[in-house]
Amino acid sequence: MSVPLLVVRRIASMLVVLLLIVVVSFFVTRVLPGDPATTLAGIGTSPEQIEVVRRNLGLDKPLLEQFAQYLQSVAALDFGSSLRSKQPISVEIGARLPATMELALFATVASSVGAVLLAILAVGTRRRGVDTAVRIGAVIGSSAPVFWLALLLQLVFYGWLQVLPSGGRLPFSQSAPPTVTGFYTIDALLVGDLATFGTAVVHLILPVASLAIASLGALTRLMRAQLRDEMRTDYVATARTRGGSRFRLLARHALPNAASPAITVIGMEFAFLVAGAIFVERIYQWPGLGSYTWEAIVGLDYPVVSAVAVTLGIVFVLTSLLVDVAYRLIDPRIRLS
Amino acid sequence: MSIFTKRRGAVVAAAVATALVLGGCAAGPGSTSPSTDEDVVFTFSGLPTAWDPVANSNGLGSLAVIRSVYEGLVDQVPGTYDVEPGLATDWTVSDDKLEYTFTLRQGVEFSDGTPFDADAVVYNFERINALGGQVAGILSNVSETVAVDSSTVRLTLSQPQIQFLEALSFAVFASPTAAKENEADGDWGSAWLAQNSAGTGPYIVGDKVEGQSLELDRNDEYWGGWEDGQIDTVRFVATPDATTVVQQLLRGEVDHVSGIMYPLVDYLDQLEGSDEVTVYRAEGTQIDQIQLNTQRAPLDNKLVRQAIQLAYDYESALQAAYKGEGVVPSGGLPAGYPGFDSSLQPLARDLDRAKQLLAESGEKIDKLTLYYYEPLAFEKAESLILQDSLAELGIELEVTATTWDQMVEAQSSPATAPDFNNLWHGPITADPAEYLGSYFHSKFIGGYNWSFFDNAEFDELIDEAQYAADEETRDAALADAQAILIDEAPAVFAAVPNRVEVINARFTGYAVHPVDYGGDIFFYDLRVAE
Repeated sequence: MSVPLLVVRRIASMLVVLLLIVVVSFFVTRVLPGDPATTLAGIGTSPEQIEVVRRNLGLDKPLLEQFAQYLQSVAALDFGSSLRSKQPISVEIGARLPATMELALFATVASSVGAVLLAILAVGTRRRGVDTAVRIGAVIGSSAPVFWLALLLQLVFYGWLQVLPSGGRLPFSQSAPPTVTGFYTIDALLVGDLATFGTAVVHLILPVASLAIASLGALTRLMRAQLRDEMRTDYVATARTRGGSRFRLLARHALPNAASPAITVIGMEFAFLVAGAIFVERIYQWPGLGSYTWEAIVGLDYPVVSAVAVTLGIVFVLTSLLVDVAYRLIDPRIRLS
Repeated sequence: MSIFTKRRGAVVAAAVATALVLGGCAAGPGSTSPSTDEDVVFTFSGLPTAWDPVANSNGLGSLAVIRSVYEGLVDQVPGTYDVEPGLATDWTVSDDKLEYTFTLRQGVEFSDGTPFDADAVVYNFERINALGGQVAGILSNVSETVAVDSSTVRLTLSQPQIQFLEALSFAVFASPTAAKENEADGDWGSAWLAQNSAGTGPYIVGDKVEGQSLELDRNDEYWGGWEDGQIDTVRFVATPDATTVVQQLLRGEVDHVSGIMYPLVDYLDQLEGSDEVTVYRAEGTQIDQIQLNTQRAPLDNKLVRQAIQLAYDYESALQAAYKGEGVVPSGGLPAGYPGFDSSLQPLARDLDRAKQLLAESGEKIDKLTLYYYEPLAFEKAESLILQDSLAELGIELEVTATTWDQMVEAQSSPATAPDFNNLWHGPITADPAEYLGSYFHSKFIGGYNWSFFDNAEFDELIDEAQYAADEETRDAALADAQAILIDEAPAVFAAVPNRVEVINARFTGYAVHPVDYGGDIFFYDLRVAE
């Protein structure tokens, strides 16, 4: 199948998936316990006043009628307004998504590079101890809960050592670079503001490390296994007869072939990081989609929770599409169906 | 692929290295203080979501914005229960105490340039009634608002209300022009005002970074004027967990932390030992209450409720929840609050009498259930003390941590509610009838009367107190109402914590405000210390 056809088919199935997400997220958020009208109206409010608030929110209408309205507006890519802030949700997600994407991207790059280096170290060295250490480290890394890791790193580097900030994308007093991509690092570079770029990266270190370490483990184990398999193949054996170090052999010959399966995992890892940054964003006051989701759940902001679910669905489906395309472009042996 | 990976890795490594160097030079983690000498910035840990003066009055933290941006006819005096002239310079009250005629301050404009006049007041009262909710509830006694002339407004009440002016301080006004111009789907400009501002107050809503910070800038045209050392910019920022926020306070990265979610008593030694911050203490006006489900067996039996009230270990609760930083309540009103019956003694444990009452009740109780709101450590501590206390009566208590929404859902009827539910109680107004009524008057069943307490005599007394013509009549009715709450025991009044507020030491002029539900601060009154 050609790449354009693949993209078209993928987009078609993506729409089906998204529709399912819209339906499920709408109804699931409505059957959850809680009453937004009571919560928003506040203490000291009589049942009559709560009813006025409910009516103003449109929550007094039958559920199916609410759903029909919702479907109609989502089809027009309008997720409605947040119950709490009254702002269009698409605007709020637009403001939050780049922060999460920047975090997830840095974390993905960090964990991929880290995994490759560790795997090469493990397979390349002839010392059994190094390999074992990498393997044990990988297991520990992948089993450490992200929120625990995030709190630990914050405690050590902000609390004790006082070398890194406690959170946020920039210090409180510093304003963001002019928005182009919404990635502070890139936007700062675009206007040549190296100081802001540096500060933004410093603020990224702890949250990125928390996310990266957690996904590093699984990726390292995969890369290590792949590399070991590749090292046993005939073409590597042939290459070996031509001389050169073991590390050179790994990097030049084994790694490119071992990388293909890793791309799938890295792609999905990225999508999971976007969705899974909720704890890290909470702990580091990172103003992304994760903290937005948290605030919406706690504040019982149904439309926001539904919209975030749909947005994450889009990120997942698009990522897997990109992975498939990249896969095919990189490895011509693969035929996609 | 390998080349790509290697190159990418090298670029990232170089970027991180560069960033560390640059970041170290440019703005290290500690250097978050204001950058210029002239601009006084107050950094407030806590990020409000929305600040429509009517629709968002109850949001924790929203009031800190609303009070800085908007004003009403009368203002609360910081640190007291009193009110003072605000946008009204003076007023007269008719003999039957039903008509209040206010003379409006001249020359005041909203921040969008609209003049403040009687029509603006009338419009805002229409808006309050249309939007409903807390402010409308507090002012439900206002039956008519009339613009007598452009600088005179007359409010008519349904019944005389002794604390009407205190309630009135909650009606703050937005520019009618701004609200009308930005109206969408008949929302009275609520969506717009949730994120913008158009008030007469000293501050204007400025820059906002979604999920990260919100700034209030000083309104240079403010009618009250400005002097040196006042705060130019208030910056609200997203809050981390308690440990981190305390460190941010101690390092001067934030100037203040908004209260209820942060058990600062755990860090008092550290905070009081620091030159960076000033710790303010005041008598508390919050009562931590454990509501009893009075409409379901066995807690529908008054003797059982009385037994529980007497079995509760108040002293231990105060220690466990607040390290003793507070007092044992004397009933439904905090000591020192208007209308408090000063003849009441703090509640005390009497286990023998409790056992006796339980035996008299004839109820055989094995197990009861309790919910508390998971993020609140003090509710957990007080709930566990109840568990211990009930164990002494041979009753097992199942303690469950829940979300706020689960609690609200469960409280929709006595059948789904647990036997006990925690509901801390902060003052919304200085009106004691409102303080007691909103939790125990039967008209608030379905609202926040989580005990489902339905006592006709109590209701009458609260109505009488709310609409009393003078303080004596009010206090007599309130004394009886307080006695009923002790006798009927619809709640365990577990503790009154002291108010503990921490502010960066470079600011003076702060007063702990007793009527403070939403983490209120009067930024305009603060000054930078010499």
